[in-house]
Amino acid sequence: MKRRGIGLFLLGGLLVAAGLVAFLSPRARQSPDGLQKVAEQQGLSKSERSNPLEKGPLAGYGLRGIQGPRAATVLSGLAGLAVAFGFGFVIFRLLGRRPGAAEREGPR
Amino acid sequence: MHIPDGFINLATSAGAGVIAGGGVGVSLKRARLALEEKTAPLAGLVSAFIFAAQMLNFPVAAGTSGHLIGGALAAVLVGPWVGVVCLTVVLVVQAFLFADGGLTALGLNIVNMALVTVLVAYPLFLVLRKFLPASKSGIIVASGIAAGFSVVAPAVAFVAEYAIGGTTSAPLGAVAAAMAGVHTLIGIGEGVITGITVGAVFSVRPDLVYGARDLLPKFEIGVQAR
Repeated sequence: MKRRGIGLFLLGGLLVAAGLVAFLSPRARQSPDGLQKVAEQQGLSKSERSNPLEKGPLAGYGLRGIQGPRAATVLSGLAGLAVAFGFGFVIFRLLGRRPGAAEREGPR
Repeated sequence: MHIPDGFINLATSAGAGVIAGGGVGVSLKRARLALEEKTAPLAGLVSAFIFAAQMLNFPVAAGTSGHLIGGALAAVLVGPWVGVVCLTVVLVVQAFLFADGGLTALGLNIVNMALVTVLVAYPLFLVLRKFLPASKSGIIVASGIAAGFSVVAPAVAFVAEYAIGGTTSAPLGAVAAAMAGVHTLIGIGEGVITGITVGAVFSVRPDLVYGARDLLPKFEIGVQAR
């Protein structure tokens, strides 16, 4: 059963992740998370400053210009998922291509 | 768990940024030593999956929610060094594209959710495995428990950061008690989700669970080395 590639696994994993975004993210709790709740209760929130990028096209898991919060959440989530995949992938591809072996071959 | 801008002063945030940069740098170096052909696609998948899972807030107490952080999950699936980088990828994407978590607080968030979670989860996972059967259920239980503690640890780290550079004057004891309390509950959710996910991956492709490599029969490892 070994010597399988990971193409199928990759595809399946990405489909599961996309499915989570598509079907579960619109139903996710909107209530504040643990840190936000504690910050509200203990008065930390009064020193909060907004992220300077809060006007960005995907900010707040929304999508500018798209009507309907559900579609906006899902589409922005899928965009984020794709970016996260690409970013993670590229970092390690570049890491593999850095002249690690070449360094050992000779001085430069 | 994402710290917004303003909670922690700039000096402390900058200090955390230096620690974050160092930690991620070390992780990249260590990850590179064990780089395989499948590392990049798996790192992409883990980053994408954790990004998706972090959108799914579940209820933990009245008016409070929590979501997976994923430090333990990443460490068990792709190893601690690649795992730190995956979590960092997620946090950078969230801060820059989704305005989730502050920009000046990015270093703090990387320290707490990428470094502290993995540094607590993976050693704990390895210790737990010594006391658990060398089987799928042993892997699942060790992952789940390690994941639970890996959520309380960054909550404690936040309290420490608040003690050093908090910009408000809330009583430290109250902040600590509240953070520990709610994140213990969130930790249970983290443990369950991590256990289920690791179990699912192990069922499909045990060879792709970094933390379970020792369970593979030797001949399989030999074949894979080619």
